[in-house]
Amino acid sequence: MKVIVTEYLRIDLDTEQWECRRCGHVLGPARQNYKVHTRVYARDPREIHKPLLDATRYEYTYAPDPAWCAILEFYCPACAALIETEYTVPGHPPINDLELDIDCLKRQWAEREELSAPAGGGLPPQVDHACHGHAGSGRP
Amino acid sequence: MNEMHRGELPGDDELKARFLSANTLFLGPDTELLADHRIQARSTREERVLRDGADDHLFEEIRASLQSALDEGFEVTTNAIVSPAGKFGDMTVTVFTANGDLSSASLRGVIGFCAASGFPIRYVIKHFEHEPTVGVRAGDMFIMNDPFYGGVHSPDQISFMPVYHDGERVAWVAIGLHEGENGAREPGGMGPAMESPWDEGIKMPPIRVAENYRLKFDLVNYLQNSSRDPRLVGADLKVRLATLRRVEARLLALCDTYGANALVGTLRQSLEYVAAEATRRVRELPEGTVRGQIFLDTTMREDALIRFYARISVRDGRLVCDFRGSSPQFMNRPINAPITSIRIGVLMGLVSFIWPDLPRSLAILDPVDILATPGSVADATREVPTCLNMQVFFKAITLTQMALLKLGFGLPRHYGNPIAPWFNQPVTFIYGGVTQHVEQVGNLCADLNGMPGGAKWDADGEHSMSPNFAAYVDTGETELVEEDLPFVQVISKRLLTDNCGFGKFRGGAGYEFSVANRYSDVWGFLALAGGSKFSTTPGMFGGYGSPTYPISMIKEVDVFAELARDAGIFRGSLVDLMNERPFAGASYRTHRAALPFEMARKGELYLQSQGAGGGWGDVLDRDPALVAKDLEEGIISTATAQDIYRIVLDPRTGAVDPQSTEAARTAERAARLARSLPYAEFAAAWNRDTPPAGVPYYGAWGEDVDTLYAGDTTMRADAIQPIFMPDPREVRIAALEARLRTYESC
Ligand SMILES: [Zn+2]
Repeated sequence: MKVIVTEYLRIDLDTEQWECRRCGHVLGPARQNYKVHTRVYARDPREIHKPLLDATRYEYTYAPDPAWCAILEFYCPACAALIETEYTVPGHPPINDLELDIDCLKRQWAEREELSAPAGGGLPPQVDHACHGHAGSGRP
Repeated sequence: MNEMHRGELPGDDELKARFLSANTLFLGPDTELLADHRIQARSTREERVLRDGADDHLFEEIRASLQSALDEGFEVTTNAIVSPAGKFGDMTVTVFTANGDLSSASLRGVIGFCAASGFPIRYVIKHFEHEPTVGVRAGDMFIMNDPFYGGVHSPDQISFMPVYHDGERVAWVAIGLHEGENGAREPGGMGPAMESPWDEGIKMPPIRVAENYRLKFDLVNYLQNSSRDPRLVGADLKVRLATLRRVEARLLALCDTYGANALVGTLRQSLEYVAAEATRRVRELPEGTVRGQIFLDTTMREDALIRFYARISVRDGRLVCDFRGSSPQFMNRPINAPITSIRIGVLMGLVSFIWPDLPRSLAILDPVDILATPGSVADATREVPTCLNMQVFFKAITLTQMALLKLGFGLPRHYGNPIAPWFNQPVTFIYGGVTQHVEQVGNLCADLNGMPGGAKWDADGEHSMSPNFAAYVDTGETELVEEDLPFVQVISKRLLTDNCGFGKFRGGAGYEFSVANRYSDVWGFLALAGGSKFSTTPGMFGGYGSPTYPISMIKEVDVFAELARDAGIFRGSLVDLMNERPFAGASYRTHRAALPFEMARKGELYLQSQGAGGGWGDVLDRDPALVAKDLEEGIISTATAQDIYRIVLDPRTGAVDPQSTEAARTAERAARLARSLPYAEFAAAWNRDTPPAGVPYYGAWGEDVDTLYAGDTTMRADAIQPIFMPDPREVRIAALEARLRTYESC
């Protein structure tokens, strides 16, 4: 069973591997930080948030200060999807931002149907009255 | 006394105990009471009512009536209140059980009061109800604002009233509202220049300001005397009392219709439902840990990189929000957050963005634990100023929201549409001075309510929409403001190009706005946002975050006189005004987005913009048609379309060229792989053991939360000390004197 985790990541519970949701590439062991299976680039933040004010005249320009702020970009090594961005201080080790208990995930998903796409939503769940035989009960 | 014999007296210990119990030097805050946010045990009456069988249908009927009573109280207040923030909806009306557990809140307004208002009520019950000089009776109204008694921050005041039926207390009703002006060092009740708790104006632990439904004139006079704006204080005390009386009357009518036990049962059952449902939802999440950090880039007086770090874990049915590793608190800067306000941030993150369908109740935090290092910016002590604690707790909103989404995005069911971080800074102007109506005022512009929303997982974010701390509030009518106050919004609510979080779905864009004093000889402004050097609001799952932004100022000119001469020189955007400099002889400069109060002469222009909501997903996955739409609407520039989204436009028609775009994106993906390194190689070159030299860094570095950096020094977390910042003017004088000495020695 494959479990969706983020926009670009899923975990194959049977093989315990991180996979890219965009290209299917097997990234590496799911018990490790997914970031160690990516390629990384430290972006000068001024390339994304360009100065709107004349940088020769003004101290603050709408662009972050590159001595204070860098944007780490984590790419899928196969399809180059931008899996995650991390705004950080130059030299700060990348944060291990997502550490999942794989055994817990297996227990929880043993009782759930695999999803082919994220659930999204926001609508309140339908109350599943036993006597009405709603979807999931196996009866019409 | 001298003749007494020792042998005839009680033992020393008993004597001491008796003396101490009869002579309280200073009661002070009750940290034990504040620390425990779980719902209390059922009262005897609640137990009896619910044990005898709760009538769910009846309770639901009462709950609906309660909700409309609270919403009615909200409407009554916004229509009568003088506080500008109150008028625009920065308030909440709430109802509590007889023991002070929040049961329900008005649908609109500031969620923070839901996490705060119960604590002063519990304080009154614990310390004053049986105190012969105070007591609690029908018709009482208490008021408070001190954050160390459970308040949100000093400009916010909470008033509350007990509700009695047949001589027995059945509920409390409360109203929390941003009052603003409170006699602090800077007008408006909060500002960058507050250097001690005693600069922050009047600090009220709970005090009874009304008895038998009448305000006590001596106390009203005292409170009015303590503010620059006695009209505001006097009028709003009356409005608060009127609102609470109205809600009380509705509750008593419910008691008469359904019986008081039914009301007591409904109030209690509601919060038990919420606590049980929140616990169930935590158990739905996978166990694990999400780590995140956001850096404040200013103390409000100087640039500084201040870490706010979160490790948010789900384990054994508990959600543990651990903020250790955050910066030490600042002795003389107002950005410190008591842990009670961090709790507010956690609740706001959950209620606004993860479980928006749940009633707005503190009971949501029943399965939540909050940890921080005492003496850090996330668990400030009473020795430091805290009026701008939202600098920290607004980021707790963001980190909580992100953590729950990272843990829960893959779940088969969501209770709210998954959404990237909402913009999280209070970008606005606070004003003070004498108006054209010859009234002394100090308060805030409602522009802080114009925060843009984050991108949704399946759609773009909303442009300047509502604040991250409140729902369904307003940015105010410009004309209404100009009628009351002597300044003009020369640019009002215009979306700034390229000011959004880029992504597959983009975050909402933030608007720009400006103010200029038109009519007053005594007038000034301050501002209190961070985010001029380091982005405050991240993106989600590959999306980019908010840009940074300054305050721009055009001074030493009367723009109204210039425009009277030639209106054609005006430019409708701060970008053009600052880059083209149409006013000859004016001084143009930018400043970090926190500005201590300064006098503004007539016609001097102050310009700001909101930041942006975070983007969602990879920019290269954005539908070219959506890029074209943004371009057409002026949300992004052509340069952004080309350089970030890699869209190729037909040079003749300006339309997207699909084939060339696909080729450009394929080329960019190849370029990503070429310029990046495998993680291990990257980390070996990138990672440093300490913060970069030359950057004033505060807080832990990496995952070691026991060592805290504090500018030039380090300290152990278990020996944490507050940081004392030198006066920026002294620093500047010292630098200039050093330069002078180099000239003198020539
Ligand atoms: Zn891939």
